[in-house]
Amino acid sequence: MKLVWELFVCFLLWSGLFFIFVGTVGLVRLPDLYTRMHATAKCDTLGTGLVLLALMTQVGGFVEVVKLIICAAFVWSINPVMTHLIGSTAYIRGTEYVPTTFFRDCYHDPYPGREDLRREDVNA
Amino acid sequence: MRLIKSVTDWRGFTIISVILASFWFLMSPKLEPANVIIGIGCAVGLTFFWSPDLFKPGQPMRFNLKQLVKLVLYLAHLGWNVVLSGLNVAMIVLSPKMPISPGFVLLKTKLQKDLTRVLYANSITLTPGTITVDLNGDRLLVHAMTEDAAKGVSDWYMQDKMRDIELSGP
Repeated sequence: MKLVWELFVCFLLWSGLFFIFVGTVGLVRLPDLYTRMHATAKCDTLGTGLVLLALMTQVGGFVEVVKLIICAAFVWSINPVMTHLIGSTAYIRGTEYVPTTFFRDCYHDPYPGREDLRREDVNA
Repeated sequence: MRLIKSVTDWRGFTIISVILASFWFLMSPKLEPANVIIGIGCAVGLTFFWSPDLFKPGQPMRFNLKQLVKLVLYLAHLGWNVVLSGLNVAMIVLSPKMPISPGFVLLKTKLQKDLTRVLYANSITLTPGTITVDLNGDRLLVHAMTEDAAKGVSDWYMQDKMRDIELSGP
């Protein structure tokens, strides 16, 4: 039983490392800034969460587990916010994207475009 | 006196101060008078410093137990979606051909409150194939990794869950 448990913890740790690795590979391989953010935002969030989950099973004591849970909560809340900030700044500044990028607007026609967004916010 | 009157929402002020102070007491090694005074002072001071951003007039901080339970269920769903999105990105990145067809989607959200909109935008970031690039009022600009993800994001089932949380509030 102990062996199964330890194998499970190993699985968590290694899958976490695998996802962080995939995030880094994606950062190198993907073509433009927006698609790269997909790799870093998702894989890093999941990888860090899995590694912290594996650590939670190894540390003894209630306070340590709670501290690790707080670490995980911080990472999981800060990661999408930073992704949003980087993406928003890049979009308003006009960072170039892959030429095959499509635009779809569910509510307006034609697409309102970059001028419609808050351009003055990033120039401050 | 003028400074004290500038805080409009005392209930929200108390809740956030208590959360910050309890975080401090969790992190502080032992309970000494200096620790207690610094912790409570910092919690109240920080909440007061950020109170113009935290408490908007006309949007009081009100929630009930039902909303909290639903929010926990929502976060559990979100965790499952994060696992799915990690696998999705891993499959795209590690495949030799990289089947991506990126694009931007502009969509309108049904949600009414600022807090639920922000939570929903962040959940879109953590779901398979999509990240939120901009949030302005009720309009979300979403970048999608593949065309299928772009089609699915406008009526995602988590939005109905979030709307349910919003409607069950007081």
